[in-house]
Amino acid sequence: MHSGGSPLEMSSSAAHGADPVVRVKNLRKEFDGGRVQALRGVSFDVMPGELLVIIGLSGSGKSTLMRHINGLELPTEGHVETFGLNPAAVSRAELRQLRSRVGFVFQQFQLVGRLTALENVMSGAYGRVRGPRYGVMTWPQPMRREAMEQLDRVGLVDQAFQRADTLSGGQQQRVAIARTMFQKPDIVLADEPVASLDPEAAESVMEILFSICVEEGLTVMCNLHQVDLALGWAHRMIGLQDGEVVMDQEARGLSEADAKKVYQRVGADEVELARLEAEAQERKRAHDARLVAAAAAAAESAA
Amino acid sequence: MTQAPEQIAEVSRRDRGGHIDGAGAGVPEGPINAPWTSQKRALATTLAVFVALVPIALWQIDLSLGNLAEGWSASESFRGRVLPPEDATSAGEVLGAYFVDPLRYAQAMVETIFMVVVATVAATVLSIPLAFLAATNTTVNRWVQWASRGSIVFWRAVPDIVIAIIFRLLVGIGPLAGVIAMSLHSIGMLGKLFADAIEEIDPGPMEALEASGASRLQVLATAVLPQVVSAWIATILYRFDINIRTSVLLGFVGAGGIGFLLFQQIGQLAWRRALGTAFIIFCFIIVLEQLSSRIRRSLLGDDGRASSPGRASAEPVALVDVRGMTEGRTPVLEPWGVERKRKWGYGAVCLLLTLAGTVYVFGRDLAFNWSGFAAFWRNALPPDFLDRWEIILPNMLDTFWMAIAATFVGVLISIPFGILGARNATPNRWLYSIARVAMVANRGLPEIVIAVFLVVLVGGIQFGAIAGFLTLSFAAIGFTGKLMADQIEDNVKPGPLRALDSVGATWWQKTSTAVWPQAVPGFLATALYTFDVNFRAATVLGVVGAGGIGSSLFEAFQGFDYQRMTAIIIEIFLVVYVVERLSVSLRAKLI
Repeated sequence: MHSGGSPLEMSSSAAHGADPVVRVKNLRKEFDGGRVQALRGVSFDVMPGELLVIIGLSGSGKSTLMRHINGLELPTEGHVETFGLNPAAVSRAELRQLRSRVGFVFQQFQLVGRLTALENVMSGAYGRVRGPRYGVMTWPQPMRREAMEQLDRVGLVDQAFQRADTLSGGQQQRVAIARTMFQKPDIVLADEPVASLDPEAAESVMEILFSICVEEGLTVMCNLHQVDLALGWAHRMIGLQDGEVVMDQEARGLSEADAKKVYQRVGADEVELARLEAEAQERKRAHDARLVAAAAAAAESAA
Repeated sequence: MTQAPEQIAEVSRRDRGGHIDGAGAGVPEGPINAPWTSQKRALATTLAVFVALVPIALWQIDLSLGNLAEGWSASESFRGRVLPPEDATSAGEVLGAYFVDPLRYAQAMVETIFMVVVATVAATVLSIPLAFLAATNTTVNRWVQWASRGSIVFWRAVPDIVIAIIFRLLVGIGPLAGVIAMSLHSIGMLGKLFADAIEEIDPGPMEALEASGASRLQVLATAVLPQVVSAWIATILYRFDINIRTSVLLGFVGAGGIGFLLFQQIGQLAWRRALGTAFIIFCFIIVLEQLSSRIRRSLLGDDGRASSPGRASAEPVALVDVRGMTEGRTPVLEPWGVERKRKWGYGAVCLLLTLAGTVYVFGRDLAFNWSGFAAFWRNALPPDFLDRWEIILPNMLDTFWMAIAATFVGVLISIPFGILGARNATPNRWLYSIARVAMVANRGLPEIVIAVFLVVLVGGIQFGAIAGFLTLSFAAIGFTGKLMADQIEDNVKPGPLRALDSVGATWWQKTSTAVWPQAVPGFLATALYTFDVNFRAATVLGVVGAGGIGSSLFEAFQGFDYQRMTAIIIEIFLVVYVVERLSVSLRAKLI
């Protein structure tokens, strides 16, 4: 997949010295007046440059955990420190400041469908410009160009002036990634970024997201359902089950089979495993079919 | 091995019994009736109460053949003054009897357009902040939300004509009073529908922008505005149509425009001229309405809702040098597609009209009569609720009965128009076109114009309530009929229709089995809304002597009895408010 080496080195360098960028301390979150326990005392640190993948079944608390990092949720107990600041205890202006340093990639992309891809990308920079904007013309020329460059990075420069809701799911998520990068964050939080995509798009979107983050040396926290997609990228994996950390290990040298075992350990049941198995096989079938089709096409053109 | 058919049936029944819960339990004894649900009960109760009120209403407004005949004979001399003059020898002379100098019409029409554009734009500008503060997902806090919702409801409940006559005291006779009245009253509808649109947006983009550190205003501009803008445009154009009709009414209190021309001619008892002007108004409104519906379609797509993203992407963007933009060779500019040019074109026309209209409305030598205005309020307060309540109360009841009777008859008439005029329920293209044309033509006649002539035709103001009832019943064809047709097109799913087609059902069978049941809750909701609108219209029709509380209001105004006038205004406001709340909560139960 990628060249290896460098992210792993970064991981070891992160391990000694530097202060953590995110500190989660005994985080507890209840919904519905205590009827739902989303997080039951979660603690861990994230070091600068680390690529952390959080796995677990849906409902295990992954999203809730992530939404605490930039103050989209407020803890019931315990606290989170992001860049040494507690998002639950800062002023509105400080919170905006903090959020502008934290990129967030959503499962449902959350683009404004009626705006062009370019406008969506530019809206990522609201943390560093003053006042509201409407339309491409209201942004300064250098920023427009910068936004085009971000679109180029995700391979969508040709779609810059298309309305976001005319793009495919994979393309929309790539626009969302470009928006996050245009924000110039220090941390990227990705909450199930490929869960709504078909397997192929999922793989390419994951590849784009991770490679850009590694290239920029960003700290990444990524919630994932498909562990195999994180292989080779993740420095560290945390497993959540029923709102508790049940696993926290280095990801170095994990194989796909190991990854599945990891998944089993965080509570994947038979059905879930079967689904994963089926997905993997489906991917393989599609891959084979493509090869066959390519061979056929080559044979045809030769004839 | 062969099995007897009964045996096979027996086996398969047993099989099914094993798979389907409760299958084969047997059909219960006794008559088979559909059970009552709470929605059905609400429907039946509303219908029963409503139908029970109708005979009382017809009796209360003195509708009888005898009265109609009496009125008809009383209006004989009037008819003589409306029919073509007998001594006219040429077509030119006949036309001359009905129409005045075309320039006069042109001038009045331009004035009307200016008034309506300026008022609608001003109402939009005033409504946007109120809507943001009134919508649950964009408001600042509960108190602000409550206050802005309150002011939206307030402006909806105050009749436009009341605002016009009060502000006429400040700005004098002329278009400005009309503009103020229309803009303030329009807030009541625009603010509400704008806020509804905001509450319906997808919250995802808002959260995404908040998560990236965007400010409140930035979130509104980028995540909210693009999602509501097309719904807003549809609403604004709809309000524009309504305001054209309203402007005719406001002309009757001196607010300029083509309605003022009609008012002057009626004042001079120049009935032929008035009829000619009414015809001009009819054509004028139809043309403007066609224009606005064409703008709506070209901006928002065929269904007028702009839901299809396909439209925007259909444009080729291949000619844009995106590579050059990325590499810094060409500036990054949004390409001028057809869509974008059209939007800017409409924007420019709207801006120009607004500017010209503003200059026209404010550009004349305006003298603000502040002392007169202040004196009015001093004389008008405190409101005098007690004096002559024995006249006000019956008049209020008159208005109520007028609205009930007119709603019943109007809905009965408009249901066939609605069914024939709905694309998915009409039996054939011809009936569809006829129904549509009839509804458009009907909307071309503002209620006030119908009322003016009907009041005289039914024999003057002693039968004013009958005239008001007939006016509102007739006006329902265009208004309620269209809403009914929209309801059918929205609510009647194509599936059941196709299923019935495939079993060979006739049009009547399809209408009774697939269209009617799916449309009935919508019909009742529309009927309630019609009543709500009719009640307001009924208060206003008093201005031309169509009975009810409106007549008391104008008597008080003309008699400088301002304390009684404010009392009546407050009473109208309260009743309109209660009627609206009632109809909103009933509608919520029915759908």
